[in-house]
Amino acid sequence: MAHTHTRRHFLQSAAAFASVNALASLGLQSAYAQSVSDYKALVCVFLYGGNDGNNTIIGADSAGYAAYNAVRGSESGINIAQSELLQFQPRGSNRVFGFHPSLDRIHPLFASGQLAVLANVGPLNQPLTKAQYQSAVDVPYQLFSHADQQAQWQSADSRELTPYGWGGRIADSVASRNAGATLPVVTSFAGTHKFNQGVETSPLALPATGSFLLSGSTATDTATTARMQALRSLLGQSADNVLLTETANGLANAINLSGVVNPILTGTNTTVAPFFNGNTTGIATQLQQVAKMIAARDTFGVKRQMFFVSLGGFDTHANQLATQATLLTQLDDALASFYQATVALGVANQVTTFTQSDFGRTFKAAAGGGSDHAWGNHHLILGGAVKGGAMYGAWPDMTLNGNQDVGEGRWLPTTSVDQYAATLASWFGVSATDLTRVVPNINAFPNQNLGFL
Amino acid sequence: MSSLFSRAIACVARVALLLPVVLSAQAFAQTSPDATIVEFYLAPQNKYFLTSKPSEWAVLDGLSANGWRRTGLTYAAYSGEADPAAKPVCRFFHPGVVTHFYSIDPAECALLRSLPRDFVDEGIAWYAYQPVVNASEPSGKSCASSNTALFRTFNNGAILSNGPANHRYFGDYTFYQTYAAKGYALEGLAMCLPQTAVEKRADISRLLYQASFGARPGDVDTVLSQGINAWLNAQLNSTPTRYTEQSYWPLTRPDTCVNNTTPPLTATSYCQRDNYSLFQPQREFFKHAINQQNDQLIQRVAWAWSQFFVVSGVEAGMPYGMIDYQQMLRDNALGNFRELMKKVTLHAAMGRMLDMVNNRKPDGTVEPNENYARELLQLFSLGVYQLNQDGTYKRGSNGVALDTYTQEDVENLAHIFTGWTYPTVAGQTPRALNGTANTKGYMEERIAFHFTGAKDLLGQRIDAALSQSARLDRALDIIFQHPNAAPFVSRFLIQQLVTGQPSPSYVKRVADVFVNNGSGVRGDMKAVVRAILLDIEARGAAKWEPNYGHQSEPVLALTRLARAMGATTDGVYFRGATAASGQNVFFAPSVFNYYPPDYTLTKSGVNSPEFAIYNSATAMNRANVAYNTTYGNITVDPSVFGATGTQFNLTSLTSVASSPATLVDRITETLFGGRISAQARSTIENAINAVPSTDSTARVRMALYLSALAPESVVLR
Repeated sequence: MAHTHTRRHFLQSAAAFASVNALASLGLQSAYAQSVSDYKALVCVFLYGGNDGNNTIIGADSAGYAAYNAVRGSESGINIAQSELLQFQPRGSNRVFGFHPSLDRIHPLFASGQLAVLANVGPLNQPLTKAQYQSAVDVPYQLFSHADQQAQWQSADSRELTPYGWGGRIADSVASRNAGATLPVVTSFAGTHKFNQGVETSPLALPATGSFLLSGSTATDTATTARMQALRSLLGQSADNVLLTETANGLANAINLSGVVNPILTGTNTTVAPFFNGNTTGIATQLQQVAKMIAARDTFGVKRQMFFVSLGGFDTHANQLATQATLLTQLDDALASFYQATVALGVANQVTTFTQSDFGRTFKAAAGGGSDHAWGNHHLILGGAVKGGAMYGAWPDMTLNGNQDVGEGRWLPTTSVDQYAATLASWFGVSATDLTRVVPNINAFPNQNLGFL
Repeated sequence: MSSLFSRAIACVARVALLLPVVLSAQAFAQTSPDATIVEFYLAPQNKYFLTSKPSEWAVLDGLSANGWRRTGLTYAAYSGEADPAAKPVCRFFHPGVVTHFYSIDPAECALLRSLPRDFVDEGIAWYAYQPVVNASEPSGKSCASSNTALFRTFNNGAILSNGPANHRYFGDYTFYQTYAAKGYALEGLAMCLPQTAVEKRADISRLLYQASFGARPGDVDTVLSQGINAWLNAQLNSTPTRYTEQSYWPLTRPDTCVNNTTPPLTATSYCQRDNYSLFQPQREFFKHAINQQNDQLIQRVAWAWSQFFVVSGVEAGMPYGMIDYQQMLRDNALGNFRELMKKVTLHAAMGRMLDMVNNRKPDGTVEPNENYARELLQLFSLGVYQLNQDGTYKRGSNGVALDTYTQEDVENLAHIFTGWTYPTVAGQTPRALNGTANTKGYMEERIAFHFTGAKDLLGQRIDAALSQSARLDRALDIIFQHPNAAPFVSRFLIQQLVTGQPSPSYVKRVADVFVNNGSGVRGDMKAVVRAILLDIEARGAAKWEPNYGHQSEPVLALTRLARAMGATTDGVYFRGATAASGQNVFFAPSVFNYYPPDYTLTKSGVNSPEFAIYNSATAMNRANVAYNTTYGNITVDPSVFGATGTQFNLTSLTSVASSPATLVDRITETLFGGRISAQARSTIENAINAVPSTDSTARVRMALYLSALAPESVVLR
């Protein structure tokens, strides 16, 4: 594994070197360098259903595993053996942890410094103690509900439902850097999600597979011409009903952008493609398209891009061991391939990928070999700019009914989504003065930059 | 028509009023209206004015420079006593506040006539019908269902931003209600106007997209001849179409079960596809939805239930179980909600979907699985916030919405839901907990795994003394009787069938029927669905409220197009086509369905669930599916035993293709709910004209493709 990894690295570097040389020979190197130095991308990987962080990252030293095994022993139905853990020791820590055995391709990126862990993060309105939680002091609304917790993760607002996401609000803040671009800042390969919706900006949703071209639109005969003209006219007519207007805009927007986007989506990028050979899962397919969109940044004229991809099925109330292993393998393969692609594209230091999920899951098992909805969770941040090899936030006290357990091993978060979002936003170029526009409640938390970037 | 004859017919009409079943007879009894009321608006003064006099139209049309314009709203009326049941409407002008007033109430007219210093009598405006007393209606009065109710609002001029005092009249109840927020007084039902023949057809066309998978050519005529009530009764009481039943099949595929492509093709050739994917139930779903006529409403409501009580192939993908579950939803679609909720709760496919199957009492290491308990409360019955009967949130003194239940309620209910296992497969021996994942039929009790202690749910006690199944019934009763159930379920069904953002009063009227069907029965879904479809906010020829309606979800967009094209199908083409357009049938991404009922559009804040899956990617796919359906060559799938493919019968359209206007007229009835703007009409007619009239099929394809994608057709309103 280590050998393969090194060899791949060498090949990628060589490929990147070759492409830079090719550009130099065309006298384009300065433009290339310029576009790289002034370019950044954020990639949000949303793990729908609520990934069980308690089995994604496990205490691997004696004390850590003992605490784990006391609650999730083999009789729990969701035990992962100590010997299977992929160990890592965070910088500055004397503790050893282990990744879920499915994360074997990104595991080395922790030691090499491109992968970081953020521990026990979740929606909060303010720093909260268990006593405050129990007396219902400013607790996020509808804890443990999928829809509501997704909304809070995506909007960084746990006091009230808002239609806007912090991805979209970052896009609002940086949109001026993309002046003249043919695309909006945010592209989703996973449909419509609150995360991507800005107050002023809206995302583009693109298909992860297949073309993005209107069928029957390319012929030039009289009937086709008349049909396309009529369709454009129907989509442009003013309407007396907002649903009509939105329906028209959705299709008109798609048709307008297909010309510039479709060649990128359907074309093969020979730099990117090798890293995804044989890796055709949904999440890998989405991330391959992201890599191609990043590669085409100059075509689109964008300096800031955000992407949203997702992987579902993490709601492992039962049969968790098999399901989570399958999903984390897909995630691991896709993240590793994507990271390597960004290296090959020469943008590894400009692209930061991070995970989000509905919530963590109860440390105590549920009947059927699973776990129920919980709160604080562990997340991954990956990229060349990441100060990896470290664990950020604070590892929870995993004692049932302890100071951080609000019931059945539901961890009270010690880091808020707001802080997570603010750290990513700041790296992306959101100014300190604009931070409250992106993360409105950030001032409730003393530390506005977690330092992982 | 002699007056004697017309009087006799009017007599029939009055009798009909007393007998809802034959109420539609009135549609024939009424004389065709011969006058058109046109609404004008004087923008600089923010005043509305109605007149049926062509001479006045001409004057106002000529004053456009002064700010007069037509609003586009028109109504039908009589110019004289053509129908003896019609009464004169008096018209007065108040010079002081410069506004007109219309009344059909003789006492009111007499009163104003007695005040000549304030009101100028301008004579008879038109003839219309008087409302009848009806205590169950919002204004205490109602019109016959074949009439248009005209509601009156009054702006007293006290609020300067509204401009000076003025009345405005509305045929669209939802639109009327929105004027309360503008500071207008809602003065109730003013009069009843006859529907023109065109308006009657439009109303039926709207009913067909609310209550079916779309109108086929000729369907409007069928309903017109039967009458709306008779058609609805027949639909409500029909027998559900049956899916082809499949037997239990092992979860692990035997090596012998493969797709055998070697001829001859038999019913079992494609063993793997037909037993390990939803291919067969998906294609049958479309086969029935598109081909069948008698149980359209039942199928449509069952499809709505399948998006409420979601069992997805993601978690429970064995077709024999999915077929059994979907058939259960059809068979109980219009039964009692309590019974439906119990069948859903105990069905093995749902047991597998949300892990109630083999759920067990706590043992120190493992807690009862909370999955089904939580989603039953959150998605299948009550919702997370306490509701008023009109569906709005109940709020605490601090304005914060009140939670319906606590985490403790979820955990307690999870305890009650322990001790149920897979149905024992015929020929197998029942086990302590059956490990054979049989998702057909209902789960079996296993008391050894049932938590037997007392638990509280929503403030009520479930006793330890009760039997396992009695405890489950007790829990379901508590949920069923909770005040949220009626508005939560009613609002969901309204959103599925009629409009994404129903007014609170619409929700309340339907929820009241959920609480009591008129015979003291709670949860009678037949009564609820009837109330939804016959509500004043559902019926009428056209709706003008700018938030009204909902977008066709991909499934409905496709079935409507297929039916408008007179399709007969084995369903194979449509199962693939709809998946490509963003809604893979019985395969929602999670229990949260394809889209949530509370999804709102960001810019407008309008509640419009289907837009959660409408974006540039799916819009393009939907357009391409419409192209393939109208222009493509749909071949018979040679891998499907007994395949018949898909045939379109376009005769009713090709026969009129030489006249683009007539062609658009016909498609307007099947795809546009009987209403198309002049702009969209002329656009489509021009495109049709670009195709030589000799090629009638190409003309029809052009018309259908553009109509399928026209926003006015995609949005149901």
